[in-house]
Amino acid sequence: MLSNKPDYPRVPSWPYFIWIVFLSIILITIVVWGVSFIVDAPLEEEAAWAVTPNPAKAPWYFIGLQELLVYFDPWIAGVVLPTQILVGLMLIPYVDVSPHAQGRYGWKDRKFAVSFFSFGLFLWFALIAVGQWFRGPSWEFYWPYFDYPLGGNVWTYPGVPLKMTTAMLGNMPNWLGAISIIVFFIGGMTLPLLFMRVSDSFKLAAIFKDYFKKLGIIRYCIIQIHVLLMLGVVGKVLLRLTFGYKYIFTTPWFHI
Amino acid sequence: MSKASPEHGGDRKPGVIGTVWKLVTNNFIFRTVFRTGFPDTMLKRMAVMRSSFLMHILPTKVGVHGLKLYYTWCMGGITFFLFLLLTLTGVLLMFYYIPEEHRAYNDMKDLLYMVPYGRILRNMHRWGAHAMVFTVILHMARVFYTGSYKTPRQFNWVVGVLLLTITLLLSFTGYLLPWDQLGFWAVTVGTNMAGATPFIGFEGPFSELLGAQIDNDIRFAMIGGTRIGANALIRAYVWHCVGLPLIASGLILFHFYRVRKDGFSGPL
Amino acid sequence: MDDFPYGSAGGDPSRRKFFLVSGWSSLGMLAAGSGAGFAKFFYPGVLYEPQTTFNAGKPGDYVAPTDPKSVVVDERFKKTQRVWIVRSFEGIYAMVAVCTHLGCTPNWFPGEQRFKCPCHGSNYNVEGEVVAGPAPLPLFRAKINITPDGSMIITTGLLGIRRAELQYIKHVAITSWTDQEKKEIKKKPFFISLKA
Repeated sequence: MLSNKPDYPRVPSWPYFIWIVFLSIILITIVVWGVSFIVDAPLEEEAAWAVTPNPAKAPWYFIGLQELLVYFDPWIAGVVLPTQILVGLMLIPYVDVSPHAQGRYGWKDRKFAVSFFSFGLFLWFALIAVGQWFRGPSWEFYWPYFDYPLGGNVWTYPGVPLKMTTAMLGNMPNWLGAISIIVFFIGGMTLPLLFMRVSDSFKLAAIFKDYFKKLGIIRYCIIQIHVLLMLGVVGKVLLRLTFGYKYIFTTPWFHI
Repeated sequence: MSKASPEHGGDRKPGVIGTVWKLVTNNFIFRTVFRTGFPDTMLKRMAVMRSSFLMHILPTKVGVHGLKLYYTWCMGGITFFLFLLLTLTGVLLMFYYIPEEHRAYNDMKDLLYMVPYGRILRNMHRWGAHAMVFTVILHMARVFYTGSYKTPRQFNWVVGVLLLTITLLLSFTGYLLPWDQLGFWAVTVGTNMAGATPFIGFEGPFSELLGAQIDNDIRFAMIGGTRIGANALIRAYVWHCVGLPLIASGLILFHFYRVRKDGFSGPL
Repeated sequence: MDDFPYGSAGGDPSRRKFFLVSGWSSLGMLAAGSGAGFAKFFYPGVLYEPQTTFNAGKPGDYVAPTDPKSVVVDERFKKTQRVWIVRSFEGIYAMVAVCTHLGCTPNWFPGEQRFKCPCHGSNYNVEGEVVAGPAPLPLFRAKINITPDGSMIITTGLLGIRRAELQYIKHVAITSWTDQEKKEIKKKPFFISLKA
C-alpha cells in the first residue's frame, strides 16, 4: 500500500493531527451545547400502562424498523431483518475481497458495491423519512405541513379529523405466492448466471462474467441472496401499497 | 532538559503572563509531568507523541491523505468524542436519577426545573446520543466508500458493526429511563418484537416446540417480567450505565488498537 | 504430542492425553455451566406484578345497547386492568386491551365500532377480529367466572390469558376467528349470555 511505503508524504502528528482533533472537539462541543441550549429534549407525560399515545413513534433511528412493521410480521421486521442487516454488513469485507480501490473514493472500480450499499442506506433513510414525517395518528399516511405541524411528538390537529383505514387487506393466494417467491429467488439466483452465457454478444454480460470469475460461487451466492432479500423487502412493500396484500404466503405457523 | 521555549521568552523582556508562564513551566516539578517540553523541534514532536499517555493513541507521523477532511470526515473521532461527552453528562445525570418506577419520572421533572444545569445536561445527553448514532452511520458510510474495510482491516470493520449495534442498544436502553410515554411505548414495542423471535419468543413462530411462554422466553429475560415495570427499568438502567458502556469501551479499545497498528487506509 | 516441551521424558503419552482431554473438557463444561447460569440469572424467580384477577361487578351494572348491531364498550377497567367490558345485544364479554401485534393499547371508537391501535394502525371489529393493519391475531378475551352472588371474576393480565386461558382456542396466526373458535368464544367462560 502506498501509505505504508517509506517515501509516502507524511507530516508529524503534532501539530497537524492534534490540531484537527482539538478543533473537532471544540466544534462538536459548541454544536451539542448550542442545540441543547435552544431545543429541549422531548419528555412526555409519565408512563401509563393503559394509554398509548397516538401516534407512538420510536426514536428516528428505529423508525425505519417501525415502518417495516406495517408490512411484515414482527418476527421478520423486528428480528430477522435487523439481524440480517447486521450480519450482511459484517460479511462485506469477506465477500468483497478485491484489495483494489482502497483508501480513496473509488466509484469506477466498484460500481456494484457502491450502488448496492448506497441503495441500502437510501432505503434505510427513506423508511425513516416516511415514518417520521408522513405517518400520523394510528400510523396512517398524513402530509406534513398540510395535515399537522412538523416536528415534535405532541400532535395537534385542530379541525382535522382522524383518518380512518379504508383499505381492506387480503392475502395473495398461496399458489401464486409460492410461485412468486420461488420464481423470485431461484430466478434471481440463476438469471445472472444465464446472462453470463451470452457474454459474446453483450458487453455487460462480459463484465459480469469477469466479475463472477473473481467472486466464485460461494461469494456470489452470499451477495445475491442479500440483493434479493433487499429487493424482496421493497417488493413486498410495493405489493402491499398497490394490491393490498397482507401476506404473500401463509402457513399454519408463520406468514410471509 | 530544555530551557523555556523561544516563543515564550527569547531576547524580549517577558510580560506578566510570560513571567508567570515561565514560573509554572520552567521548574523541576512541571518537567516531571511534561517531560518533553514544548514540541517545537521535529525530535520533540516525535517524542511527545510517543511518550505522552494521551497522545500515544495517535501515530507520531501521519500520511497527508489521511488528514484531508474530505477523506475521513473526522467521523470516527467525533463519534468517540461524543461517547466521552455522553459518559460525562451521563455520570452527572446519575447523581440525580433514581431508577424506580414511581420515582424516575419525578426525577426527570426535578432535572428540568430544580437541578442546577439539569436541563442542559439532559438535553446534551439526549441530543448527543442522537448525534452519535448519526455519526456512527456516517463513519460507516465513509469507511465503506473509501474501501477501508479491505485487507488487512476486515475484522476491524466487523468490530465496527458490533460497535454500531452497541450504540443502538445504548440508545434503546436509555430511551426507557425517563419513564415517560415516549420511551415506555417505544420499549414496549421493541421488547415485544423480541417476544416474536422464532423458537425462543413466546409469540414467535415455532415457540410451542420449545414451550416458550410469556414467563420463560427471551423477552422475559430481557425485561425481567411479563410487562414493562420496575424490573425492566432497573435492567435498562444497569445495561445502559454499566454493562453496555463496558462492552463498548472494550470494543473501542480494540477498534483503536487495530486502527493504530494498521494506520489510515491508503491507495495502493 | 511428541514435541510437547514439558516433562516429555518420563510421561506416558496416553496418560498425558487423558489429562489434556479431561482437563480441557472440564474447563469447557465449567464455561458452559457458567454461561447457562448467567442466562438463568436473568430469569427472575419471583414477580411483583399487579393482580391478574379482579371483580368486575355484576353483569347488570353494564349498559346494554339498544341497537342489536352495535355494542357498548365499558372502559372503567381499562386503566387499571387493561380490559374492556363489552356488552353486546346477546351478552357480555371481556376484551383484553392489548394489541396482538406488539402490545400497544388500542382505543375504542364508538362511531366506527372499532378498536384501533395507535402504534401500527391495526383495526379490530367488536368481535376482536383484525379488519386492517398488521396484527396477526384477534384480540384476546379474558375468562369470566360467575361467583355465587352473581358478580364476574375476570382473569386478566397477560400471564393468565396467554398461558392458560386462551391458548387452546388460539388458532395460530389467523386474523379472524374460525367457526370452531366462534362457537368457543360464544360460550362460558368467555361469554355470559344475557337478555338485551
